[in-house]
Amino acid sequence: MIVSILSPKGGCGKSTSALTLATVFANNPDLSVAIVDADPRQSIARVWYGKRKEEGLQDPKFTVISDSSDDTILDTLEAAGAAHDLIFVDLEGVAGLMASYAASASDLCVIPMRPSALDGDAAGSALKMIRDAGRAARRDVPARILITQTDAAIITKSHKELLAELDGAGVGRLQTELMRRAPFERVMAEGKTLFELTTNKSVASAISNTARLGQELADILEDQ
Amino acid sequence: MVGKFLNLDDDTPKPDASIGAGLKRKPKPQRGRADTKAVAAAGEAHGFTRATQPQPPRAKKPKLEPDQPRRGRPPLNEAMTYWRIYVAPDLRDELNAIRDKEGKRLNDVLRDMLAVYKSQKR
Repeated sequence: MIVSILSPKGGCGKSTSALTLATVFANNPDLSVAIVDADPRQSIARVWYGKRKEEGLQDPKFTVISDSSDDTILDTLEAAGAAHDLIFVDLEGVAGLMASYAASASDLCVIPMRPSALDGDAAGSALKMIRDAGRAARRDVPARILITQTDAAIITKSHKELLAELDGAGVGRLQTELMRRAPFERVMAEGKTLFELTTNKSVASAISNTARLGQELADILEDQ
Repeated sequence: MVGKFLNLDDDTPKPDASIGAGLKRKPKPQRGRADTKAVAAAGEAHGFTRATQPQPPRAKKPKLEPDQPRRGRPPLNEAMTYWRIYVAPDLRDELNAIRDKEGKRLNDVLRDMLAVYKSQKR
């Protein structure tokens, strides 16, 4: 199954979501998991994976595939879909054709957004694009908003307003939010997975947060 | 989580090693290849227009030969501090000429001058 993680807004946590979700699913030894890095910046395939190589770490439990070309992304996704049970597609934070292609081939699209008006606007565009890309491909492509980088201690007023607006408009969203936690930044900086970070309470919380998100995602995919 | 002011309860469940087990049992979805033009048009209608192609690998900058004068910002492995100074134009021209001919930057000239100054003070 293919899960595209997309938003035309940069910095909302697409790569972090893809990386941490792939990590928790790949923790299941029976599941073959891959990330397709379709962002020309190659945050996962070049930066994160390069850091891993630099540090002499073993290959992760999931496969990392690099393709950032509009011309070949559909072939890559088709091949990845045949070879793996679950694929997360990490897309560039721009309003690109690539996002439409990936959405049309996905079984689920996840739109990360921070609880801010600008991210909300970008998420709205993404939702409409996914709906219409699915129609163009004669498929129903479900989408869910993922609220990211939220404060673990306090829900702000704008956060509450955003949730109320999403729920009021009947927009599907994941109930689990990805909190703002230092370990999510450390995985990128150190080229490690959450499970490879030095264990402390913060890392345990980040793992737990991602596992809960993964479980919710698994339930949605299994029910389809 | 909705409706709660504090949401500190995200560290109770443990990671489940069987997460996604149901996906393994599911048959792989069969998708026909979408009409790329129709998909692109659907995205373009919502502003998703930007084309993406892989970026060519960056060409490595040629290393400066040791005898070449060095200009601009110092390499990152040199401990240097940015210091903006005003000098007379003719003095600047002279310093630039020294840099180009002898490879001595302002930093090197100042270091020499300081050494001379200190030696004369003794």
